[in-house]
Amino acid sequence: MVIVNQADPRPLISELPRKLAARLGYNQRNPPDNIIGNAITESISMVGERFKPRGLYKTMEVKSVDGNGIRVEQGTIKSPLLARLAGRCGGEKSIAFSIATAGEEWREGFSPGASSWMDLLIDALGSELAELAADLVQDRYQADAQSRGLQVSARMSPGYCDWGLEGQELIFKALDARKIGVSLTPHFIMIPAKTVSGAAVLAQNIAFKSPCALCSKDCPHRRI
Amino acid sequence: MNEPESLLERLKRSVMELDSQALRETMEALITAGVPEQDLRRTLFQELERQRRRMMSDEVPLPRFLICLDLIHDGLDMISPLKEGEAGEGMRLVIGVVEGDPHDLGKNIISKVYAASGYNVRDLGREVLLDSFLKALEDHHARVLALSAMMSTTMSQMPEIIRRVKERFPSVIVMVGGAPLNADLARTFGADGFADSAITLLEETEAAMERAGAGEKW
Repeated sequence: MVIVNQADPRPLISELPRKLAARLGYNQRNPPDNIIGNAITESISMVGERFKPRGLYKTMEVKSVDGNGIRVEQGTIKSPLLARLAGRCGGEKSIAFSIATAGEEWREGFSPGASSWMDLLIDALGSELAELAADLVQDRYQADAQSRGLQVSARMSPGYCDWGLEGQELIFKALDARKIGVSLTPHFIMIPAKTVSGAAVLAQNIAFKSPCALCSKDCPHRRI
Repeated sequence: MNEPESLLERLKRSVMELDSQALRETMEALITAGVPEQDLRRTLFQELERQRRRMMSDEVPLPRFLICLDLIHDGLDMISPLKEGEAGEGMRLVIGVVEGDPHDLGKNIISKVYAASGYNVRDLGREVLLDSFLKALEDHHARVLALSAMMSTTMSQMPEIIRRVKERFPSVIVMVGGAPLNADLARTFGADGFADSAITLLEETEAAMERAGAGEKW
């Protein structure tokens, strides 16, 4: 199991204003007005160096793949779609399980409950920070895989696509999340709230990087 | 210039321009001028409705709508709330997020939209136990229960909550909402209505009440 930290978060947050605006429904053609734009800038400057992204990952051998899922030592990833993706990979396959969190420190200075708008902004900001933490961890296992001549699929999380939220149990069985201060409730909700877990397939040849390529559903989470 | 009519226009403009200071000052001026609270309340409700409809047609993005919602709440806080039995008192409603679910951002917005649209809201917060819903429905003499769940695992409690609510309060209208839900699931769960956002909330609630009033199945 590899633990990932980033002492200086500044390089990670350079793209945050654009990403946060996009999460709030804005884009280049429809940019935020001054009120919203200033609030976005101010909220990011408030986070500053309080953002302490951290995470962990572990790669493990795939025991078998069938129509229902991917079996690893701790159990089965019950996602037929991810199994289809893994089934089309060439050579030996492994799975990278990961958990990454934005932590709680970044919230200091914000007053939740003060207004609906601020609550939305804080929530969206936290979600973006969690994604940055998840990308940080993903970059590390991707670099590790590449150094071994392996390709990596897109990350998939329990609760999305055809992988039920119950899949969290398997990830938390594989990784000791306490090492980064993350826990799981009986309803499979991760604490701190702004935490991302996931699994990605590692193989010598990956025909389809994203499970979306094997799915025809028109869904809001579609990545291609 | 400071006639009540022009002050009411200024109040509307302060909401549209998201000017909280102007809203507070105008509300104070209107109260001092002796404008009946019901007129102030009606103006604020109408402005929220106008902004909600603009959001419906993509003219107003969600963040601006929420700032407007917060402003209207600030305005309503400056006048006395309607008392039980008073003419114009809104439909009584209980709202909460089901047990085990800590996600209350969506519920808080929905709760505020209901309140700012004239409903008499009792907000139970998040991670609410079934017995707390039942007690609040009784104590508040509620006509509507709005249930929220943001995870598939917590959503699974909804059928049992709805069954128990209907058993004890058959005339209560149950509305449900939350990320993992859709209208088909809501029907399967025994709910009377489903709203996917603050945009459709009021129409969907009214439609559910009309169906119930006419004895129609959803």
